Amino acid sequence: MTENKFIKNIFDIILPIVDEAKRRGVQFSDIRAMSGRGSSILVQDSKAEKVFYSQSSGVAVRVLYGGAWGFASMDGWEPGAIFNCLEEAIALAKGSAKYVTDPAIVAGFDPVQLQICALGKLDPDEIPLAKKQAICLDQEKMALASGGGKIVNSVVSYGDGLREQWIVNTVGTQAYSKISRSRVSCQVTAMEGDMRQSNYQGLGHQGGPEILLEINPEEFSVKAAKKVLQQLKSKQAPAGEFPVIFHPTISGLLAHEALGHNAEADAIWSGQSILQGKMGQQVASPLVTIVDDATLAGKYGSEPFDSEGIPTRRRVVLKHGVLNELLHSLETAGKFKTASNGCGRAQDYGSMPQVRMSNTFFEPGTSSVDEMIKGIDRGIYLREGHDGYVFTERGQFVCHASEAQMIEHGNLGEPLRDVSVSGLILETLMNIDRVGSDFEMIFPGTCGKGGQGVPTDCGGPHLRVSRMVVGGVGE
Amino acid sequence: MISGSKYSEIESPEQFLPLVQKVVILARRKGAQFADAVISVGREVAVDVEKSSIKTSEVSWGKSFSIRVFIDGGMGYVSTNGFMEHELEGLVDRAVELSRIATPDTDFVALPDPETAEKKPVVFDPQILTVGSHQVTEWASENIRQAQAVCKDVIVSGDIAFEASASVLASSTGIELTRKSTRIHTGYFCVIKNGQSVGSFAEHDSARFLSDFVPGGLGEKAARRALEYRNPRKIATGRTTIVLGPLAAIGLISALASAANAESIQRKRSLLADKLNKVIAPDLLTITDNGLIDRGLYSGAYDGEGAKRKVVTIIDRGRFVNMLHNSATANKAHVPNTGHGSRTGGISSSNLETALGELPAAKLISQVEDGIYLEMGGLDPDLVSGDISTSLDFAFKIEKGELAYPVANAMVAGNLMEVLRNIDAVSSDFRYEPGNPMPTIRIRDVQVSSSGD
Repeated sequence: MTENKFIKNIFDIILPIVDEAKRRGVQFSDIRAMSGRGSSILVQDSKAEKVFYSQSSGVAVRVLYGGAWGFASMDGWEPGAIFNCLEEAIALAKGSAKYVTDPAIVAGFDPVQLQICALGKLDPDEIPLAKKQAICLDQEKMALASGGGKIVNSVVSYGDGLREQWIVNTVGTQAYSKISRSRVSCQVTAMEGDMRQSNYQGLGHQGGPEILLEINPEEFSVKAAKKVLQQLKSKQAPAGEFPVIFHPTISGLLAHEALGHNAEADAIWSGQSILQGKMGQQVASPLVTIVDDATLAGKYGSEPFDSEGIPTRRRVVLKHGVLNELLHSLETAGKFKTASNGCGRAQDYGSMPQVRMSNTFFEPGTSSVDEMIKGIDRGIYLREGHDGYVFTERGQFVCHASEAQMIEHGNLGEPLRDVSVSGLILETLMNIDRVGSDFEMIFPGTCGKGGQGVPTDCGGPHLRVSRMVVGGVGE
Repeated sequence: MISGSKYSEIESPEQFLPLVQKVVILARRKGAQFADAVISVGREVAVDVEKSSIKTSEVSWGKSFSIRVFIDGGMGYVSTNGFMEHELEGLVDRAVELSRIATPDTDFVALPDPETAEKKPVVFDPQILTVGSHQVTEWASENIRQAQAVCKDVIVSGDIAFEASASVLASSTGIELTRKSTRIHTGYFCVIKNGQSVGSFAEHDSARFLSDFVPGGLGEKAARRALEYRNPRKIATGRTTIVLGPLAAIGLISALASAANAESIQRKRSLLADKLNKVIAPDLLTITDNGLIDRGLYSGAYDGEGAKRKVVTIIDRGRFVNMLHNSATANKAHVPNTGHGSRTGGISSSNLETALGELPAAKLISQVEDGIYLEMGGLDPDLVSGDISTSLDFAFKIEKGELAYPVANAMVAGNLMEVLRNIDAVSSDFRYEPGNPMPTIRIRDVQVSSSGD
């Protein structure tokens, strides 16, 4: 069967079912069919002992009836079973409608007919698994060679995959996409005396296995080795409140955790965001502009359209510190009487779309890193982002850096390891007093929310915050 | 409306046993030295709550297949959802191909042999299959109403899910297993505002059996705690005593169990790598992994590879005495397998039991003149280095033996090994989730940072 015929065949299976939903008088219904395949390689201690391949296919039927959502999903795409899903979804929505006190609605939108492929330079199958494996083994070898005999464990993992998605709805959308994503990571553990430390470096993009061919070891495996050796000599940070400089790998985390999750319109609608009621208000330093953009070519969080079939676009969430735009799904856009900006994303066909970020970043400013450092008598330079989380309702967030450095009297000082900083969001955003002129977005990852994970990226320039609480030890 | 055959697949998974046996034989014919295969089926009914309203009612049906093949110790693993029987031979071919690509592993010896389980804990409740979405929705609504009775302006979000699943496993060593399990999970997060001050808290419950599940009361509990978390205050930076409530202490216990993973230890990337048979905590700390408890949340007669589960004491009166093994790590170390393996090569703990102390949690708190009570959220140690640097998200200041006020924007730091040495009490009472008693643990002399005076 040709590829175009296959694509049409799936539409031919799901279109009659969404037509049936319309005949049943539902407020809205959509059907998502998905098909995916991917392979991965795990190299540990100079052996690629495990090689994986997975494939999946399935369908989800979503129905809005009486202000309630009914949702049924299944593995496979047998037409009779999909029809049963429609029956189940309608019954679920009807059954729960009387319990709904905050009725769901969907915003109006123009239906689209789209067929989009975002596959990068190479198809996953264009490089044989054995070659991918050899590249991973080479990267691991380079890490070990750079580790001065102190590396006790090394892991390089690689995975790539293709995902096809078909979306139809009762408004008339027929959207198809085929997207590839690839990720490669290196984690090394080193020991010296009683001290044991590890460092992780990850790369990822929307695209194929060319990511392996384009690796610069100095920015990947060799970097992990050099950094872990540095960590062995590092101290834990001092405890207390300090001025803090964020490197781009962790300023992206700040954009994502501190601002991005609070700008998700479902959190605002339900009263669980500190940005509720602040549209058009100054909520951050005028130096701060934060954008979420799903259209950036090749970036890990990019999508041509969201899981509701709405084309994505650039969203300027904060403009010079003023809350400018929220992130919307069809439902939140309906409730806020606006249009969806394509942020309704689902992890897979078994999950309902939620309001989600894509690639979130601070826009560059005008300051230099040197200028930021010079202005600090005693502070912390967070050099490498690791992870973070936020309590949106309380406006409190945490960012964790695996590597940092003391700043003493305007100069960089001792190296530090494993530093977390915590802040109150609005206070922290107001306390940003310098925004760098540089820019990097190299933090591909999976953002978790409501039990679902979706691919995201984040970045920005260097930033300086005049004071933050640092989770450290001693003076 | 719902096809009866889907229910029968969960109730009688043995119908798939001939198919997985056939696939394993096929893999052997195609060159596999060892192989095992699994077919799993499942159903989940769930209801989501948002803004104190029912939002979504969901049902999902799953059916998956996976096979792993070993040639000279190299593993090829193939999995699929939504498979058709005629596709399986192609997937076997691919698994064989992948195992030939994998690097030979001289440490690999064999997959587990068939064994008689030490005990077959009860983990399947057929009643779960009879629970419909209407009942689940009613229970979620009841929790919303109960939370609103505490505070009419409370914002409730959460979910409730009923799952039933079944699987069959066949291996080239002769293992033939059928398994069925059920699980209920529900959780509610309550937010209560008071001007600019916001209090929030979450409560959850899990069970294997309907009769172990209390559908109401969680919304009310979460709302009452959320009220208490309003008007937090900043505290001073310094060293202090921290009392970990059950929901925080279980994070510390789970971290230790994760660090006892034999693969991480053999590969020298665990903070417990050189600590076997050494004292790492005071003698009041004993932790046992017990996957054989009836109705336990993480119970099962066999692990993912079909090896029988054993009860393993990980920490015995402060001494690290046992790792958790899968077949590969046990064979490599020439020790018995403890039955904690998964088929993708991982190792994980099951139910964790912590030996109880002599005094109730209230007494442990009342003995603290000045300290912190961490009710939820853990110390989140790095499992390689043991370093700790994390936020105290749901914590109260203890003053003169009493919970004084909620803490704002504070952090804790140190190293897990130091924290373990500084444990000075485990409570005699505990929060219970089936198979997992969770006591309170007190730790002295912990570094806390904040911006208060």
